Amino acid sequence: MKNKYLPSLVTGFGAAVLVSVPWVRTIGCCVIIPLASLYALILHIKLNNGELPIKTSMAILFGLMTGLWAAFFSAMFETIITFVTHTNDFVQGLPAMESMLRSSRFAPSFSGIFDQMLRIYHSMANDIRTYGFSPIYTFTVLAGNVIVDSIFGMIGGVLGMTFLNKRSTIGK
Amino acid sequence: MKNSFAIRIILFLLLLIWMTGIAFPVLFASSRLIIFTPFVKKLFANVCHQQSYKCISINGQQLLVCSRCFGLYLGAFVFSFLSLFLKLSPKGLFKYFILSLFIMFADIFSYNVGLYSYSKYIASLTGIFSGSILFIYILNQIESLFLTLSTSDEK
Repeated sequence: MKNKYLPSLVTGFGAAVLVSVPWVRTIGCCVIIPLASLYALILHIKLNNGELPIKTSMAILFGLMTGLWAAFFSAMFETIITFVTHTNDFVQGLPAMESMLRSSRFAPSFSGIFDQMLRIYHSMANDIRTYGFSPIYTFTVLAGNVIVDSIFGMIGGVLGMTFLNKRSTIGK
Repeated sequence: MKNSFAIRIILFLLLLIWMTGIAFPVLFASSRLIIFTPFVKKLFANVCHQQSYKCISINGQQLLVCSRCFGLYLGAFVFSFLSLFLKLSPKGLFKYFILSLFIMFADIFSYNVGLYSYSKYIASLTGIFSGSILFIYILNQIESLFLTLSTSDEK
């Protein structure tokens, strides 16, 4: 069975699992998603008898898809973990963040905006503490993940393509 | 040639935006934009663990990534700027890249086993070395990719 999107789904899911493990995240940082894109291309070639050399458009598409799946799953995992624990790094870091923001030289002159934004942050933190879920926070996480993971996914896709194409020419 | 310069400018601008994001709390400490720091911080949480004791502080404000990641992106950013004026295509790049990764992992291993305590300077320097070589590698790959595309278009 040929399925173009299965490799991206599998490796995107794997990357999201790894990103959710704190120890792996400390070591892996920004290499997990690009590696997932590379592995998606390798899986595509093995599963679907994909042809080498890989086309640029396909590499970018695979990178993008891997990044998007990773973004979706990592946001889902974070939401589930937050829902179970009723806390996360945003809630824990908010007091320090607030004192940092209030110490800004600009804070007194725009106290109105600052207070409004801080009220939003506090309502997000309260929602998480009370219900384990905040729609604004979840949306922010998802949007951030989509932007960053798709960029890194596409970089991984292009680099993976050049790596695999080079290997195929050496093999010949 | 024109394509190549355009690619270099685009990469430089993208890295400039990225570095602005990393230094957001430092650059916008005196601006009302500082209020968006939690959102920008969350954005960079995708690419870095952001452990506080590993982050560099400037004027009392922490950068949004750890020293090693900052080094990586700084190296890439500096070389993206240099690439606007210099032709960067040294030989044996892949070997240097592997060497830079080896040095980086040697540092990670050494402080994790307790040979020495975490040093922001060492972490940054290993990052800068890897980041600069990685940037040159990516730039060369992208340029050769566009060269292949343009020659296949001409055919």
